Amino acid sequence: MMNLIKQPFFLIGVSILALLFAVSAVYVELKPDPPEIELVVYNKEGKLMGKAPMPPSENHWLGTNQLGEDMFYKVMMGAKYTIMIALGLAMLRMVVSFIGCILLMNLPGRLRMFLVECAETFKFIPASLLAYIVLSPVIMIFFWTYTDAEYYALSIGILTMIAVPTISVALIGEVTEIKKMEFFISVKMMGGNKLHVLRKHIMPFLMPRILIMFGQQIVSSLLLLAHIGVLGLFIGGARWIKMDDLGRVKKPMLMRNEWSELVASSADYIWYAKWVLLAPLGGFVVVIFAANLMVEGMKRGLLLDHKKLKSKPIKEMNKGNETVEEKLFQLKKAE
Amino acid sequence: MTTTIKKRSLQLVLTTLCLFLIIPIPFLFIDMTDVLPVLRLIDKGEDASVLVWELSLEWKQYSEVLTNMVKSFADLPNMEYYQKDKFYPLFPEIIRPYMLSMKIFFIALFVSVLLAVSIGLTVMLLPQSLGKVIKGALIFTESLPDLFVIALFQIAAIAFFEKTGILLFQIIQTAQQPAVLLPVLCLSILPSVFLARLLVQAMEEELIKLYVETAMGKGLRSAYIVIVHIFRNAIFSTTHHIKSLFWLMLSNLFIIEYFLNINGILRYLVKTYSLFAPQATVAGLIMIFVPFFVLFAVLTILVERKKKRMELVA
Repeated sequence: MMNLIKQPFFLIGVSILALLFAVSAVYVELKPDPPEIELVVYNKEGKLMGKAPMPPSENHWLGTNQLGEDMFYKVMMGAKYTIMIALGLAMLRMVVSFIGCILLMNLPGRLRMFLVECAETFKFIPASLLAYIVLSPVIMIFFWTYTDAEYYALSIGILTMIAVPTISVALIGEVTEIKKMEFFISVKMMGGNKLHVLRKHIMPFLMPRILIMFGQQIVSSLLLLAHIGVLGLFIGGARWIKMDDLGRVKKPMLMRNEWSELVASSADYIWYAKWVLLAPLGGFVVVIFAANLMVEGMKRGLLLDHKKLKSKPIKEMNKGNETVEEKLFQLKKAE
Repeated sequence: MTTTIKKRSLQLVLTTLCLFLIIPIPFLFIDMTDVLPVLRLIDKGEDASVLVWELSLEWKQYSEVLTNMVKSFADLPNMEYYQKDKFYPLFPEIIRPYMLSMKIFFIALFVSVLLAVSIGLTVMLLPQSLGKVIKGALIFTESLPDLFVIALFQIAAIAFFEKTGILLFQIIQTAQQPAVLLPVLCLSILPSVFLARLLVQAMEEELIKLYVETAMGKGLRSAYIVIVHIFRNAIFSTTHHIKSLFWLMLSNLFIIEYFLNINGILRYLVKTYSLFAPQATVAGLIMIFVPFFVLFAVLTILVERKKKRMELVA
C-alpha cells in the first residue's frame, strides 16, 4: 500500500477526483441560488447583445443553454452525482463479481466451463446497447410509477449486473494465474481448507488486481453513463417541458444535472451551440482522464513488486526489465 | 484441428443461446400482462397509464416469450418488428443499415490496422526520446472518452469548412449519398491507438529475446530486424486482444451512428427494439456477431497453427 501512495500518477488522479467532488459538494452551499436565467442579454448601454444560448463569456464561463441557464453551474452541480454514481457502480460491480467468481470457482469443472463460455456473449454486444435494451422498458416507459429510490436502485442494479459476467470471468482468469505460481504447490500440499487458502494465499495476490479492476470499472462506468446519455436514458430524473404549443418539441428540465443527462439533453446542440454539449463532455474528459491516471498509478505501484514474486526466476525477470531500454539503444548503435 | 472447430461451433451455439436468454430479460422481472395493452394504447395516441407496477419474478411469462421467439425464428423470412402500433416485416429492410455498418466497420478496421502498424514501426525506428513522446501521446489519447473524440472531430471538420470553404468530405448523411469517410475516420482513431500501444508493447517484449541478439551479431541492420523479424513475431501476440478491439470498435460505432446521424445497424436495432417483438433485436445481434465470430475462429486457428510450427522449429 505504501508504494501506491508514492506513485505520482495515482496521487494526481485521486486528488483531481476528490477536488472535483469536494468543490461540487461545497459549490451549492456557497451559491445557494442558481445564477439568474438570462434569455436575452443587453450590454451596458442597453443595446441588445444576443439571446440564449450564449457562447462562453466572463459571466458564463461555459456559456448558457437554450433556457438561459449557466452551464458551468450545471456542470459543477452534477459533478458530485456523476462521480458518486461511477464510484458506486464500480464498487458494486466488483463486490458482486467477486462473489460470483467465488461461487463459480466452487462449481464442478464442466459446469464452470459452460458458464464461462456463456459469459463470452457479453463481449459481442456493446454495453450501451445492452443497457438500453434492458433499461429502456423499465425506466423509460412508466418511470412515473416508481418512487425515486426504486428508480435509482433499479437503474443502478441493472447497470451493475450487465458487467458482472465479464468481470467474474476475468477474476477467474486471475485466480487461475495465481494458482499456477510455484508456491501454490506447497499450499496444496499443506492442505488448508478452501477458506484459509483463499484468505491467506490467494487474496494477497488478488487484491491488487481487484483494485486495478476497480479503477478500470470506474472508467468504464463513466463511459457507459456518457453513452446512455446519448440514448436519452436519464438516471438522475428529469421533467419534460414543452417548447412549442402543440407539445411536439420537448426539452428535458433536469432535476439533478447529472452529466449523462446533460449530454442527453444537449446532443442536438452540436450544430448551433457546441459549448452546451462540450461542457458536460469536457467534464467527462477530466474525470475519465483522472481515473485513468489513477489506474496507471495503481498498475505501477501495485503490480511491479508482485512481479518479482511470480513463478519466473528472479534473475531473468530483472535482466528483462533492465535490457529493454538498453537493447533499443544497442539496436540504434549497431547501425 | 477438428477439436478446435468442434469447440468453436459449440461456442457459437452457446453464444446464440445466451443472446436468446438475455434480450427478453425485462419479461423476467416485470409482470407485463397489464403493461403491454397500455403500451399499445399509448402508441395509438390515447391517454393511458399504468398506476401500479411492481417487480416480481415471472418465470412463466419469460418462458412463454422465449418459446414465441423461437417460433418466430422458425419462420425467419416473415419476421416482424414493432413500431408505433404496427408490425413491419424485418427482412429486406434490415439489410441496408446492416451493409452500411459493416462497410464502415471493415474499412475502419483496415484503416486502423494500417495506422497502428505504421505508428508502431515509427515508434520502434525513431530515436528513443522521440519514441517515448509518441508513446505518451498514445496513452493520453487512449484515455479520452470516445464521445469526446468523435464530437471534436466533427466540430473540427465543420470549423475547417467554415474557415476555408473546402468541404473535406461529406458530413451529413443523406439517403442517396451515405457519408462514409467521416465515420470511418472517427471509428479508426481510438482502435488504432489501442492496437498501436499493444503492438509497441509486444515488440518491446520481443526485443529481449535471443534471436534479436543473433540477428544483431550477424550484423543485420536494425531497421531490417525490427520490420522483418520483430514485427512479424509481435503481430501474433496482438491477435489475443482482437476481441477487446472488436468490442471497443462496436461501442464506438454505436456512438458514431448516433452522433453522425448514420442509419446503421446498431441504431436500427435500438429503433426497432420493443417489448412486442424482441426477436427482431435478437436477429440483428446474431447478424452482427456471426461474421466476427467466424473471423476470430479463423484467426485463432491460424495463430495456433503458426505457434505449433514455431515450437517444432524451436
